[in-house]
Formats: sequence, structure tokens, C-alpha cells
Amino acid sequence: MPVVLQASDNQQFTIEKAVAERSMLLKNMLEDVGEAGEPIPLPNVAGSILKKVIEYCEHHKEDPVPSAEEDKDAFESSRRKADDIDEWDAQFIKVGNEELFEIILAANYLDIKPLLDLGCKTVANMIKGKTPEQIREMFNIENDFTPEEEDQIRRENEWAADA
Amino acid sequence: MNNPTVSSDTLLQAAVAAFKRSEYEKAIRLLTKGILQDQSNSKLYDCRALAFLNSGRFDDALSDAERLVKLDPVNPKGYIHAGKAFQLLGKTDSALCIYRIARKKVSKSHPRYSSIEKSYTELLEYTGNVKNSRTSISTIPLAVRSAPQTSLSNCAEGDKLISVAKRAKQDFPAATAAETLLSSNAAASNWTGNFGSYALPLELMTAIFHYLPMPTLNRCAQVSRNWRASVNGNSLLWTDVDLTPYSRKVSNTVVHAIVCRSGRLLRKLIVPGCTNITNTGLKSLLAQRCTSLTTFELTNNSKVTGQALAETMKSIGSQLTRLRLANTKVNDISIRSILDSCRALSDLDLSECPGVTDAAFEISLNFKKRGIPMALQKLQLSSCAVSDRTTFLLSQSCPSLREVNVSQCSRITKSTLVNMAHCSGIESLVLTGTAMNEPAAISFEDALLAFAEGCNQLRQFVLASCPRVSDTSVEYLAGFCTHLYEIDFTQCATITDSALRSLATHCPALSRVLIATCPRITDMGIIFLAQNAKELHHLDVSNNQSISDRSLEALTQHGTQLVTLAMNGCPKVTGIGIRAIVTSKPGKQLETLLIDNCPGVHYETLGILRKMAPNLNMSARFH
Repeated sequence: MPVVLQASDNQQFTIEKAVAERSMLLKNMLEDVGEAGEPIPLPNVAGSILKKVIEYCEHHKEDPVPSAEEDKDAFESSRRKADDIDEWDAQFIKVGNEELFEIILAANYLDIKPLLDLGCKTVANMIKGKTPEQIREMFNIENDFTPEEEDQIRRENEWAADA
Repeated sequence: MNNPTVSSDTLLQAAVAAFKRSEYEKAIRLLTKGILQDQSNSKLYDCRALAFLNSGRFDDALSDAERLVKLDPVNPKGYIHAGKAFQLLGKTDSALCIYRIARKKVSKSHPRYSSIEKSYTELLEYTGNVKNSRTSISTIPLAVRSAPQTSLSNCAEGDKLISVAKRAKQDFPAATAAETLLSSNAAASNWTGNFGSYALPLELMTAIFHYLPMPTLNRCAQVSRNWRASVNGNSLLWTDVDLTPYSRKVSNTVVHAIVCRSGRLLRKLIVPGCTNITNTGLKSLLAQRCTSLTTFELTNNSKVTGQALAETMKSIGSQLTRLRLANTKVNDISIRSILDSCRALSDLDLSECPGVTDAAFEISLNFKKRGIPMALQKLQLSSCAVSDRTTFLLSQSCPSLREVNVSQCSRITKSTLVNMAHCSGIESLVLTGTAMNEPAAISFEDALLAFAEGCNQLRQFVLASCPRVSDTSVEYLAGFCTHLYEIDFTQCATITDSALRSLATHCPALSRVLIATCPRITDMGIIFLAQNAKELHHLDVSNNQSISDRSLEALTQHGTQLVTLAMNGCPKVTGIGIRAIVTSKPGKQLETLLIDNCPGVHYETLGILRKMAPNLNMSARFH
């Protein structure tokens, strides 16, 4: 039984149920409403992004469902590794900043944990090794520190500057 | 004395009654008593967390909530208490994080699930996060009401935090982390676009930051006020702190700043070789009441005193399991106190602490008297001033003891082998540099026989440079300790091929064999080893004159697991044997090959090998 998704710009996508179920949001919805066949409106996801997300879910539809164990305990917060991205995923996520953030937000909304992780890892990898100024430039962030504050913060963090 | 007949359930009932009369201190006292009796009753923690919350002890509430979550991860109450405590501490990011996890762990049909949703929604709204249209795609319907209660209590708590910050500032001129926590609330209220035109919800910021190593995290804190608040204000990012790469630059101020960020949630603090840390640095741990600390490593430090360590651990060390204090100024008095107060301590490293003697471990008699087993599993006492008395005391009081290192302790004798025979769980014993010639009354063979008979779980036995080690003693060891994984008999000149034969015959798991400078070992022994020890992956036969290509041939043919081979100073080894083992060994490829001072291996061969096996880590120098 196929599932029809409707993006914010009214674009419709017909996909397999197994693909839709990569999204926990859709999975729960489908369980609740049964198989009505009505298009599911996703007013927060644009068609172009939804297409991309579906591409990801198509590719990963055979993956085992991530176990609850992987979702670490709230208090269990040792640093995670961001460099274990497989090749297909790496190619998939090679997109502009704008699209990347749209994908992350969509993955968060649709509750697709592996895609959300992929997005977050990608942003983390972009940040790694950059200076604060480079980070600001990359994401177009305004430096709202006063010069005095900036100076003080720099001194505070000097110890970890270049180890 | 406590009356043991009062059950924890009775205490719980009494505590609930006290709670209803708003006598929170009394309730806490009763519950604490109950918890001491029964640490697995989640109701006690639930109730005490609530009592702590009501009496303003948010940090304590947080640790009870944590235990509650650990005991019962699908029970919403632990998350609710933790979230509330974080909110009251002004750590909005952490609270959101907790709620987000709770929404996944707790069943949606649970009657209390709705209160998690409600708290989460209200908090999201409070942070102003949902104002931005891009983030309004949150999956939850937003409550229209604002959250007056939350905002109010945050304000009240804010005042309190300000005074804490001011006080901290007097003690530590550069300390500003507490102030940062405050600004996180202010920054959050006008949260627009933390990534330029994009605004990621706080929990996604946290998810990204979790992938970043500490230096990057520090740089992130310098990007903007908003980023700074998200990095420094989230305790969950700072629970496991390893400052090894920055050891020279780490000062008390750095420790203080980090501990302010982690607060009570600090679990690991690894500061080896940070010579600038003094007792003042430990005071930060006390001030933030880091009672969740499980690992503390402060090695090679001459400024922190034993007394300060003991006092700190007495206050916050109840969860501590791993303590590494190698080459520090600890003494017997401080170790006694630490062993007495850190009851969970299982891994203790006191290597190169000359102030540690047998007296430190006399405390174990108190444990024995009270019938409490000591939790110690791993103990490193290398180069300490301990004697056989220590190993005797340990054998009497530490039933879980698995690893003991008493190398270079010149007062450790054969008696220690006899003492350790009582520790049936022992897996690793390191005895290099001990006095195995004493006492003359017991023969080394008898002592080792007693030990091997008692400790058949042994996996690692290290006794280098000991002329007492004989073929007979190795046979006893191999015969009883069939799980042996590593043996180190470097420079034990008396052992012969027969020792290798016993090991290879009886110990199928044998993987690491270190027999450098054992001149009576020949090709015959190595061939037998290669044929029978199927798991062999690390072999050191350096400086053995009679080892030739015949050994290499056997290792090439049978050593499928072998990855590390050291043959320094073996004159009979030639390029033919070396080339064969590098290029045509079935199974695993050789990863490390040490052939310094092997005149039989020609320069040209080395060039060829480097080309054929570019990933091989090879050393072939002449001295």
C-alpha cells in the first residue's frame, strides 16, 4: 500500500510504506490512522527538501530499525565520533548550507534519527578545525561580542588554543 | 547504631508523611536512611528528589533523578525531576535535552507522559525558540499559555546564581562561567538565527556540539553570545573532560571554568601531568559538589597535597571508581582516608608514590572487621614502598581483586605469591623487579605452585629479569593457569624450550609471549610455540643468539594471528626468513617488525620490504 505525502508547496510524492516508515512521525501516524490513502500534509517541508529526504529513506529502507539502546542515556554524554559517515551518505549530504539546514530541520520534524545524525555530523565536521571567525563567515553569523568581551573570552580559552 | 528492623518501606511511608507536612529536611533524612538499606528502590529516589527540589537543593535533586533514570529508564518521574532541576538551575538547554530524551524513552500511553510534553512545550516557548517561523515545525502542538511559573522560578534562581557567581569571582579572578550560565537565559529570549538565517533548536545545537572535541568546542564558545551560551550553558557537553593534550597549559582557572560548566554532572576529569594544578583546583570540585565523579586522573603532580585529595574525595568521592594518582604526593594517611570514603573505588593507581607504604592498606582490616568487602579490582603499586604485608592485607579483604602490579617494589618477595593464592579471581600479576630470592625458606617453585593452584583465572604474568624462573615453575604455571594470555619472562636466563613447550601445550589462549634475552631458547621452542599457540599475536625473541630463519619459517607457516614480532639482535636471522614472513604469511599481515641490530638482514632486503609492505611499521637500525 503506497503512501502519499504532500509538501508545503502542494507537491505530492507517492512512496512505499517501508520508505515512509523510516520516519517515526509518519510511522506513528500510519499506525494511528490506518491506511486511509489520503495524502499526508507536511506543511513544514518544501517539496525540494522532501524529495531529498525521500531519496535518503529509499536508500536506507532495508536498514535495521535503530534500537532504543543507541539513543544514549541523557547522562551518558561522552564525545561522539563524527567521522564514521559511509560513502553514499557522504555524497548525499554534499549540499549547500541552506539545503543542509533544511534537511536537518526536516529530519528533526519527521523524526528520522539516522538522517538527523548525518546532518549534525556534517555540520560538526564543517566546524571542526575552524577559527571562530571562519565559523562566523561560513554560517553568516553576526559577532555580537564587544571588543572587550572578545578579548576576555580569547584569554579564557587560550589554554586550548593550539595543542 | 541503626536499627536494622525498620524496613525501607516503613521509612518511605514516614518520609511521605513528613513531606506532606512540608518537613522536607526530615523527609530527606528518612529517605537517606532508606536508601542506605535498599539502593534499588526507585521510589526512595523519586521521593527524595522531590524533597530536594522543594528544599532548594537542585543539585542533589539532579543526582537522585539520575539514579532514578538509571534504575528505571521508562519511568517518566526521573526525567521530570531532572528537567525541573535543570530549569531551576537555569540550565535550559540541559532541561530541553532531558525532556527530548524522555519523550523517546517514556511510553506515550503512560499517564505522566503528558506532563513531559507539557514541560517540554512550555520550556521551548519560554526560550523563545518557537518565535522563529522556521523552527515552528516542531512536532508538538504548542500550548497557548505562557509558563509564568517557570519564568518566575528562573528569575528567583537567577538572583541566587548571581550571588554564587560573585562569590566565585572573588576566589577566582578569571572565573566567568557561572555568569555565562545566567546570560544563557537572556540570550535565549531573543534567539534568532544561531546559524545565520537559520535557527536550530537548542537540542540540535547540542547534538552538533556533542560531535566536537574540546578545542573546537572552546572555539565555538567564541563565535557569538548565542553560541557561547549554548556551549557553556549545557552541562551535558562537559561531563567527560580529558585535558591530556593541554596538560602544560591547564591551570586552576581552567579546571574551575570547566567544572562550573559541568557542575554536578562532571563524571570524568583526566588531568595527567598538569603540573600547575594545586589544591585550589580541587576546591573547585568541592565548590561545585561534583559528586557524580567516577574517574579522576591526576598523575605527575607535585603540588596537590595528599591531605587536600583525601578531603576532596571524602566529600565527593562516593561514586568514584577510578583514581589515578601515579607520581603524586599522596601518603599513607590520605590513601587510608580515600579507601575509607570512596567505597566504589575499583581501579587505583599509586605507581611511583614513594609516600605509600603498607600502613595505607591497614585500613582493610576495618573493612574485614565490619564484614564489608573492598571494591578494589585493579591496583598499581609499582615503585611504592610496600611489602608482602600489603598483598596479605589485600588478599584478605578484596575479593574482587583482578589486577595487581607491584613491580619494582624491592620488599615484595615470594611470600606475595603465596598471599595472592587466596585471590582466586586474579587475572594479572606484575612482579618484575621484586625480591624473588627472599625468603630463603620457601623455594620459588613451591611459591609459584601455590599461586598457580589458587589463581587459575590468571591471564597475564609478568616477571622479567628473575633468575629464579625455571622450566619447572613455568610448567606449574602453565598447568594450572590455562587461560594465560600474556607471559613476560624477558631476561629470565634459566628457562629453555621446555618452558615454551608447557605454555604452548596447556594455554590455548596464549597471545603475547615476551622472551627476549633468554639465551637458552632455541628454534625448537619457537617452532613448537608457532605450531601450537594458535592465538599468538605478539612475540618478542630479541637478543637470542640461537634463533634463526627456522623460527621465522615456522611462524610464517603457522602464525596466522601474529602481527607484532620483535627480533632485535638476532644474528642468525637473515633476509630470506624476514622476507617470507612479511610477504607470504597466511592470515593477518604483520603490522610491526623490530629487527634492529640484525647483521644477517641486508640493506637491500629492507628497501624491498619497505616497497612491498608500505604499511609495515618496521625498525631496522644498527647501533
